[in-house]
Amino acid sequence: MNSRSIYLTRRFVRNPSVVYREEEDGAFLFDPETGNLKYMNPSARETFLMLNGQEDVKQLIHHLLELYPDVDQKQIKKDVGSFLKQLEEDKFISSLDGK
Amino acid sequence: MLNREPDYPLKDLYLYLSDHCNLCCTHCWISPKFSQDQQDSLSLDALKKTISEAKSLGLQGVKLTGGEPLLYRDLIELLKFLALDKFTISIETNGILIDRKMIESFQSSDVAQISVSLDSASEEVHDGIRGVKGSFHHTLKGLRLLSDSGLNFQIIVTLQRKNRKEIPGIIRLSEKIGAGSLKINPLQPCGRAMDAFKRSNNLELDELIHLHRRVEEEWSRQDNLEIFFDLPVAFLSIEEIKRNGSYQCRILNILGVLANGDFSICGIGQTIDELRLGNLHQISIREVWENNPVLKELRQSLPGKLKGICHHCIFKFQCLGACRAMAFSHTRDLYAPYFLCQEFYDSGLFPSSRYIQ
Repeated sequence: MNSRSIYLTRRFVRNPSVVYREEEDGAFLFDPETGNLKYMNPSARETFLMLNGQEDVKQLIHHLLELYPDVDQKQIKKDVGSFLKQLEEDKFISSLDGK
Repeated sequence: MLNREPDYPLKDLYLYLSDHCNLCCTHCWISPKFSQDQQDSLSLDALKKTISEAKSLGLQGVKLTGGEPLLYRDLIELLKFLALDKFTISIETNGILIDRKMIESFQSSDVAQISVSLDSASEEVHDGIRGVKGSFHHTLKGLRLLSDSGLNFQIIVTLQRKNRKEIPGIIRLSEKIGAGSLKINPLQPCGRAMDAFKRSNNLELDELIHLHRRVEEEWSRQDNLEIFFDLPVAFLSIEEIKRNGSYQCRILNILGVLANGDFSICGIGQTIDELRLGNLHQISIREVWENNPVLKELRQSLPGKLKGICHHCIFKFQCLGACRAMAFSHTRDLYAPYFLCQEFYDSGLFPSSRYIQ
């Protein structure tokens, strides 16, 4: 099993202390402990809202491909990977499976 | 020994070179004495010594302001000195005294930005606000010289009842004259502008929101002119934040030097003695920056101790309470909420997605 497939099987949940604020053209994540603030565009917001700990990254990408059929699959995988990595680093989300 | 970056670098010095001004604007947040004479109360040598010392504290930029900074007798010599260290130099002026000699000095010192205040595209309205007849004509002359020189310049307008309908005209004039940007500032309840507030010359909150929306939706997408509406970040659209970034109170990284040599938190010491932190003839800038108890307390307490709506705002770590000097001026409390944010909140107009209970 390579590192990529390990990543695809990971499941994430939102950090319960993080404040999620939806706006017309995106959303904000705010961590009152650290002061971290992140703006998410509408597609990043969709991705974030799918993080429920039930489905792994592979399933999540599958849903996004259904939502955005015109977007290149490789691009979606790449974007989702970097988005989740950043959210995890900033402690907005955590993995249920460890790293 | 390792060269370690200071935890709180003194990134910028705001030099209030003159406490006089050749105009008498109703909206001035300071109250400089009216005078057209050159001023030299601040010794150039002492200033040079302070600036040199500030380099080791992390100094990168120097803003020259006042009163009217072009009244400072040694301005050209000061610019030459600042250019030697390649500091990012910015100047705030009413533009009246800009002449060819001054332009040459700005160019040879590589001044990064010159901000010129202009309150209307109409001579009558501008002169009325500025308190001196003919000021529009002279400012425009200065702006044309800046335009011809190719220097980067910004026009700043302070919004008040008298010029609330002037924004489209100012945008057109700014474009025509080749300004790089236009900054629209709401009136601040401080200094001489307190009287303007007492006379209700400030805009009502809903007027401010309406005008901001119009600027954003109708006028902000000019090809060659960036427009900044200077509201706290909590009121900016996501699009504006992405485009222009968000303003942060810079109180943790700046120090003011007043025209008499007093160090000050920003420039607020000009109107409030309590926020003067010693004089450069008696105490070094290093001593002030590293050991002044007010500054040390601020570093420990911002944004954690912010009060009112600022305490609950999701942008508090980025914004640091918009303008701490203004908050102090209003309430004598460095942690009081920013007046505009609190007024918006109290009126039910603060965006609900941008604060937590």
